[in-house]
Amino acid sequence: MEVIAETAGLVQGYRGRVVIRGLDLRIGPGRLGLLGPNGAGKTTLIRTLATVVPPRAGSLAICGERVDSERAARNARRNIGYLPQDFGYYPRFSIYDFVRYCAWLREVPGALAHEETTRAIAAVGLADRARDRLGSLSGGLVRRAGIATALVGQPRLLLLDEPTAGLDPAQRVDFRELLRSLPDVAVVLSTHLVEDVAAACDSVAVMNEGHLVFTGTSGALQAAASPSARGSSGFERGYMTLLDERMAAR
Amino acid sequence: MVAYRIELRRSPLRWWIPLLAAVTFAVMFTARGGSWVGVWPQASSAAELSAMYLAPLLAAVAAWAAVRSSQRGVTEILTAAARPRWRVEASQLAATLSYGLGIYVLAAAVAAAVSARLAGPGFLWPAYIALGAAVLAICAGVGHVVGRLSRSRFAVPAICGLALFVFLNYLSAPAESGPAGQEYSSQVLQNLQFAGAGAPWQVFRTPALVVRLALGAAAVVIAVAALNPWRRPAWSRRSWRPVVVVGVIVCLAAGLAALISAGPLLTERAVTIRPVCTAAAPRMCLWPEDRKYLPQLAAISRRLATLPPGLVAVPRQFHEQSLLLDKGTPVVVPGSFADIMGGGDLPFAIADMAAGIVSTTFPHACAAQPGTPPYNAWLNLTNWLTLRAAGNLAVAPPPAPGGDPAAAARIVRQPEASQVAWVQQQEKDIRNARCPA
Repeated sequence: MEVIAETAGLVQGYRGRVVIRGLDLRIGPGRLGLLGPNGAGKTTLIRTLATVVPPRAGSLAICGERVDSERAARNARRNIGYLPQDFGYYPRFSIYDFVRYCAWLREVPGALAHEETTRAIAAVGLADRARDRLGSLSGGLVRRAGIATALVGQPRLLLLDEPTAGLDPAQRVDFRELLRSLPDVAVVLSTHLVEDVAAACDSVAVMNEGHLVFTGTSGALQAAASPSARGSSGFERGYMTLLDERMAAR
Repeated sequence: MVAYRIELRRSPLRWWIPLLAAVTFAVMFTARGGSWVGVWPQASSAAELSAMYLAPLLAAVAAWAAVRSSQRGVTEILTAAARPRWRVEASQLAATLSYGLGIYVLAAAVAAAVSARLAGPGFLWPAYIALGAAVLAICAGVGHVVGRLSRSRFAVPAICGLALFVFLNYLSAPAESGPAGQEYSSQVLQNLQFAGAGAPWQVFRTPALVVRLALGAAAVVIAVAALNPWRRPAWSRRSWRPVVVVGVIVCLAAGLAALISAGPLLTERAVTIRPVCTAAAPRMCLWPEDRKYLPQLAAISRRLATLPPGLVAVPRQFHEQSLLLDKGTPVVVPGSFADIMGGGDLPFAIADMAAGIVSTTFPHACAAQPGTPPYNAWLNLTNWLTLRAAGNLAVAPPPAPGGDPAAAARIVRQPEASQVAWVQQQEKDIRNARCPA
């Protein structure tokens, strides 16, 4: 398997608190759903993979290059599309300008930038509203514009933190289809919505208290489900079984 | 260029252009009652003066625009960018500066356009325009830095703009706003000056101008490149805060030291050109840039020529300030007049001429004690001459301080014979002065 992102012995935290403890993860092309309860370290892992925060210990490599300095991080960022959980935007930006600006931030070559911007906007279904200002859009539409900023420039690693928050059911279905249509890209989808992962992801990673407690396919997670576990689907019951086991182990 | 164009489109300055332009043009056209129109150095000064008001506003808006990068979520996007942060800041500041400089250049172009018909040969003085641009760059840079360091969207930008306004228009401006704008409360403040008054006999000193232009460039570079002391670069192991804080203090101190050590902004202009003069005696000679005032001065000359003969000694020629040289050094002699920039009916110039006439008439008069009859007579005579030279002015020239201005104003309306008798009495008082041993 081609490895696009890799962490080894990754330790991460904020101030005195350790959030991720010795995490080893190899991410290849395909869609990886990142699940876990609040405080499990999902957002911290995503931010680390986005090179926004350097590892406290351990190593990080993106596209085979070790990321251990600001210069290396900047190089890596050209291959990373990142949609933060709380992504900020300037209300006066039009959708086109916002996505085009993010393409510029990612150093997408100028000759490709317009075409890439248009493609990313079309991919999230906003082609006919490209000139609308972000401040005039609903939360769901702004979210889709945010997804377009992550997609622009065809990054090798796409990091999406709660991308479907604020989307209506139809938009979520569209979003899952969009994810499935992305070829040769490593997508890490961090979410609380288990059904999104079940529908759109090839593999699943479950985090709890800074540890990776499960990595495998969706089918393997369903197979791990205990008959007595809570949940409305096999996938959900598998996820809940993992968490319950961890709770019991404590 | 892409980011620059996007920043131009989304800059809040787009919405502030009408206000900024209105302030700029209002300041420019009300400067010195609009008398600058038709005099190139004064038109240059008026354009630059508009920058002194535009710049603090620009600083406030620059701070406001820069604060947006500190908004929640935006910082995350910028931190995750491959593009170096200074490029992001540069494109934003470039957009801010473009709007500010655009308004300023437009104001200067309007000043040139309205002056061209009256002013004759010449053009705006580039040093003034460059100095105004430097002021704009300094203020935009300071505002941008303040915005980067702050999270306050309104209070901090407003305070920043206000502080710069006070500095530019009070601390570094004339303490007593005489018409020539040359009187400063101290030498240090004079060295902090950022505006010239537009006098044709003064030019900017090169070192002082260069320092100000360099400060403008430095402010822009610092605004773009400076690290935020409150936000350490993500991959840096060192804390930058002490370095940045010390750096800011050093830069401020260095800028201040450079300004002070560069000396005063203005110096006397070398007289290397032929003055323009009225034809009839007494001749009134001006710096060529002031040629617009020749008709008024010709009228004054005619009025002085009709003074009762033998009463006073009118110099054969009057010169605008610094036009007379003694071995290359400008000298002030009876007949020199300054403050022609008062414009309109030239009240200050007339008062100078009147004083010059009295000095020429009584070259050996000794200095009388204030309040004594000779002292009051000297001032009365000066006031009378001022009113005679001014003719039927809507606004009378300022009377010389002391004496009896009301008496002069009353006498000047009386028949010529009465005036002659009154003047002769004043002259008698002056001659009777007892000089101290």
